[in-house]
Amino acid sequence: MADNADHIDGDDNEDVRAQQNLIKIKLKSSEGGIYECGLTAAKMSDLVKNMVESLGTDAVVTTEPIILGNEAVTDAALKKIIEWVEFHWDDPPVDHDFEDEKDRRNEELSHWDKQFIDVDDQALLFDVIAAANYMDIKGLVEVGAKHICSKIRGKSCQEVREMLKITNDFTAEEEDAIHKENAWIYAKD
Amino acid sequence: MSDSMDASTLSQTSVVQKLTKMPNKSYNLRRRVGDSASKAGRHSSPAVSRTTIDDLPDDCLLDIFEKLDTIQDKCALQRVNKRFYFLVNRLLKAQKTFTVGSTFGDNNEQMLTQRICRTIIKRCPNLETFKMPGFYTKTSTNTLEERIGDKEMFSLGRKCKELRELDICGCGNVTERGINYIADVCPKLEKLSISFCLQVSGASLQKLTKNFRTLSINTNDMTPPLVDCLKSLSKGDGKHITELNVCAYNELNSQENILQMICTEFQCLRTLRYSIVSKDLVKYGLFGSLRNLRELVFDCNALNLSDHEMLNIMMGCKDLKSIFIRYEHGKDHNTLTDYSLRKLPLFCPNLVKFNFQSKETGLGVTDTTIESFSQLKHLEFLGFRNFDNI
Repeated sequence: MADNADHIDGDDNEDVRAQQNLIKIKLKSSEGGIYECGLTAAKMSDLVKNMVESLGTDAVVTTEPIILGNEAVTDAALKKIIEWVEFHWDDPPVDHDFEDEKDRRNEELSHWDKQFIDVDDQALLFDVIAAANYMDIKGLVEVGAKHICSKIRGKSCQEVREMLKITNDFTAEEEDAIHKENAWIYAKD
Repeated sequence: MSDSMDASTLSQTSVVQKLTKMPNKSYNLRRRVGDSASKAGRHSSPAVSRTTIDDLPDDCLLDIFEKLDTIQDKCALQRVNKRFYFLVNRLLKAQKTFTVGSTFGDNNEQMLTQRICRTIIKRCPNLETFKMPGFYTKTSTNTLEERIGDKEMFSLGRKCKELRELDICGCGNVTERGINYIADVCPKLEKLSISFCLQVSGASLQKLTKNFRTLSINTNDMTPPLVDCLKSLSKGDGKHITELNVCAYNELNSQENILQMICTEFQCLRTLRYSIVSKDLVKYGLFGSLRNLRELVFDCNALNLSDHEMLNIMMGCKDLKSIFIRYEHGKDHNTLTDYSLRKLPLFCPNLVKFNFQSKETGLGVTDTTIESFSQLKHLEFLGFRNFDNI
């Protein structure tokens, strides 16, 4: 994979990454807002990374804003996302030898990430996750997913509905059927 | 206040979505409203945005749902709405691994009951790995009859034909019948752990197929009976296993020399983790027959391992990559010295890890050994604990 070139751990490479992050590129939200972001940070988004690479020279990249057309990329969401990538761009690359998928899944969020993602405005939270998904920023989707997970954990279906403001769209018959599906679990032998 | 208002408008939009069956389109509509608002004054846009979890694409939701590891949470999610129901169902159907229950039941939600076990089996027919360390805990909720038993083994065998790995450590109600059934109907089984299965005699282990690779048994007071289990395993195709983990905690009171039996019966072993407390002197002479051995763990209180025997092991198992030896040095027992250890690089040139721990100070091992280890090209880890002469 071409990715791997970026993941080679070395002082040289880190310097290049730091240097590149001094280059500011412009990102444009679906609402029209234009925001600056370091190049290395912005490339944490695979979408942006591919766009930048297809555009070629840095000169073009720094003048024209990159348009993120998906509706989820609101001004507020984009601001949040830039805050996240600007904080995380110099994270060490994931070492697949030492942590497997499952370990990473169970890993707690860092304190910074927790504070970052714990926003009061649920619409913003889902905008950020949907936008991060659209922009292909795996780390951030992961953070959002873990956050929502921690809220769902241990709750009943009614509590989940209330928390996430979801309407129950099952008919009474369907609900009965699902209950029956589960009924045998409760039955004693 | 604004919350409840939000909720009512929200439920309307999602109703619209469901009615039109075009969630994306209604999403666009809503967003356009937000757009016009943002032209008037961009800062008001977050208040107008009404994105809910329902606006996330499927793969995003699946990302979230799969992180919930208890079946209770997943079942609760299923009942939230239709979309959740189908997504969670898709996840469960695809799920290949389930680990449930904690060995030490500090977390009640994670504790394994028959109910949970059966739900998992019913919902996840494609399970390949099922680990349920149903270690009975001190909490009153998990009484004797609630422990995982044969009934669960039967339904597991009926549903999950693809099963490759099963860990029923401490599932006290499983008897030989349960194991027998699994051995009969799950021919793909590769790994089995029957540690602390108090009612298992081991007789059906001889039915295991040639796919079987790894057996783990920890026993306490000889239940399950380690010697019998190994004997019946060696009678069938199970004798070709490549990994064996045995551990007996209480003083082993057996006439059999277990190590000797392992060496003669299971010659394909690549990994042997041997941790047995025994007064008997162990005979290592046959150890050389385990020619495929890659990883060796000896963790015993009194390991009667002399230089001569260590040399035998080294000469026989030339492919060893990892050695871990730990013992509390008993007075009457032999111990290792430079004499054998400095020859290790000669016989086992591929060694990657070497870890040697001894409770009482090992007098016989000095810097000479360490110096000779410099010839090991692949060595990545070297550990000596409690050695004064190094």
